Amino acid sequence: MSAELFLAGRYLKPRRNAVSLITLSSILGVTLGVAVLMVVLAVMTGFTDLMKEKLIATQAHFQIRAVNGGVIRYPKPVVEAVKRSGGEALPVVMGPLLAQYREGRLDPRVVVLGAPADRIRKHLTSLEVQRGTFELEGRRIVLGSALAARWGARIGDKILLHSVNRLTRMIRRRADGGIELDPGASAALPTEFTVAGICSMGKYDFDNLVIFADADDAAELFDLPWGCATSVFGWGPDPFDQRVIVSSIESKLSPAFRVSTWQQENRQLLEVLAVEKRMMFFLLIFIVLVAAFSITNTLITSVYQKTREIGLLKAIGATDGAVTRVFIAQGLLIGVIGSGCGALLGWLVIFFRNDILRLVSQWTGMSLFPKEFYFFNELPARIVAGDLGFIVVSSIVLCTLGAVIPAWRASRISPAQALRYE
Amino acid sequence: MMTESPLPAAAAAAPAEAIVELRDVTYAYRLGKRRLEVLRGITRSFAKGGWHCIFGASGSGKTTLLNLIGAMEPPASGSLRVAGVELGSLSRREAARFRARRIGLVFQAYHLLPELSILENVMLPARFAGISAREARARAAALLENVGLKERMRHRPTELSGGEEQRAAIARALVNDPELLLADEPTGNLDGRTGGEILRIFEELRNAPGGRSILMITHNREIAAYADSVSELVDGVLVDPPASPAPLA
Repeated sequence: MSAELFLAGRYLKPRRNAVSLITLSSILGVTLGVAVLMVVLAVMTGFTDLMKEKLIATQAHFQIRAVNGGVIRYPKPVVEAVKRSGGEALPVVMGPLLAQYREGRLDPRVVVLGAPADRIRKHLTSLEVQRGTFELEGRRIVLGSALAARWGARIGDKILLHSVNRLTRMIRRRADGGIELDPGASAALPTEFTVAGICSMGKYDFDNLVIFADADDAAELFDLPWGCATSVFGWGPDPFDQRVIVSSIESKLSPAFRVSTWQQENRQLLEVLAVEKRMMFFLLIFIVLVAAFSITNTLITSVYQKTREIGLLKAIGATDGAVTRVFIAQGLLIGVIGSGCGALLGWLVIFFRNDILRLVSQWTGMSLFPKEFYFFNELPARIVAGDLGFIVVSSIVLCTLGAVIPAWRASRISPAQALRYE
Repeated sequence: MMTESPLPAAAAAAPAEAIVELRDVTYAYRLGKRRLEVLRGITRSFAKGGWHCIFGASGSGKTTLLNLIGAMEPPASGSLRVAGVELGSLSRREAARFRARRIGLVFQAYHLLPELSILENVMLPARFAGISAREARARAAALLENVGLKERMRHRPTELSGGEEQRAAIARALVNDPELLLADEPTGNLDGRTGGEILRIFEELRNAPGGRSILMITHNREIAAYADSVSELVDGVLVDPPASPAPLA
């Protein structure tokens, strides 16, 4: 161990004076900063992981659509391209509809997903039938649980679904710019479906939006030819790395088709989560920054209190650089000790997070993460080694930088002047 | 109780081999716009291997002169050579290295670091001089044994008496085997008996084979009498002391 590091360690060792207490408070500041950063980032990572799991379980790994936004008239070649690339494919008919769930009660915020029931259940792994059955043939539908709750729907209820396409075709624009009923169009009557089941995907927005229907029924609702699809859902071997399969599919399809992964489909959400995490880091690092300023104050006080000792060190041969290193090493040691303690404290909080949450909920009588919104019973958290490393390194660097000014001040002390007035 | 004795005058002519050579050395403090001249053209040499003393009243500039000789400050003008090195030409870093390796310092107030044990205090200059921890520890332990502090090595300075602290400070000054030992009122904080013990250590150092050069400053005529040669600092100039001592105020 170098003399500088040894001296720095000794200067930090708690003694019966205020400087050591202030040093301890500096270490505590760094500890809290690192712990808070670690806990928040771990929870955000856990939450993002959970979101990704839900996204993967509630949608395809990738979707293939026609570039022009139209329907895929013949989905079979697309399905074959996916299969030959090592994936599985499911043509679906999907789009927005107008639902009439009671006399005069309309809901414009629904999406019908039409596909064979067995294929849906195979691929959407988080789908759980809560009531009834997941049978779609014979003009039967299955409602998302939140949607069913919103409507007050029960098994066996009759629901009318209005085709937006057909409604659109009933009107035309007049020469003067106004609109009128198209005399040539037939009246668009809704189709009546029976609620066969109520299911949950474990994701609130999905459960609040989706109605599962048979593929042919859905095609009829959208006034599409039999056998066509609005898109082809695909699943590959690794949902987190789809570069190979996507490129293989693209090479087998004409440029009229576009493949988009679940990450691209949810780019906005994933970017928001990533930005939130970065923002949290940026905001919470200020705790460590404040701790670093506290180190600056502590060490400036220490330099003034130890002026004579610093003069002595220089008199017996310490160079300006050596004295600088003694104080820089103090900042470094505070950073290392504080970060180490912070990492340990953070790990403990993360490990016991659910017990802590239960206690807080009991004390306050509030549910911190209502199940109807978050769909998890326990707070998710995952410590990423890279995040932890970045937090610890940033904290140590900030603490070390906090010592630069006092160290520079100490290095400029003249030994003769410091020792002159004994 | 020490007895008064005539002070041995320092050699006026330059000795054959000098440990310290001052030529027209000046130094002044700035007090606002005022310039306070402390040292006014000092020219003197101190022979290698001897015990020299600079005697003078409080505030006469003794410590300032010692600081210049100890490479802690450069002179305002003039030439100052210590152990053959022109100090005025040294950078701050070179001066620090010079202090670490070639100068040993003993202070009136001992200046042991309270955070360190006695052994660690003595090791410190060796560590700054780039000597390994193991070697520094061995040297420090041997020196502490020589000054009778073998049993006190692990103690903190606050647990030692004044005499013990000063003996530890002497051990610290010697750990890098310096050519010149500078002592600033080394007995100033000690009673007569304990001060005598410290002076006996200096005598042993002077009398040891290949005798070490010692330059001590004091305001005490009785202490000065222990040295081989004495110079008196009067009005910023070094002079030979009067043959018969004047009673001290």
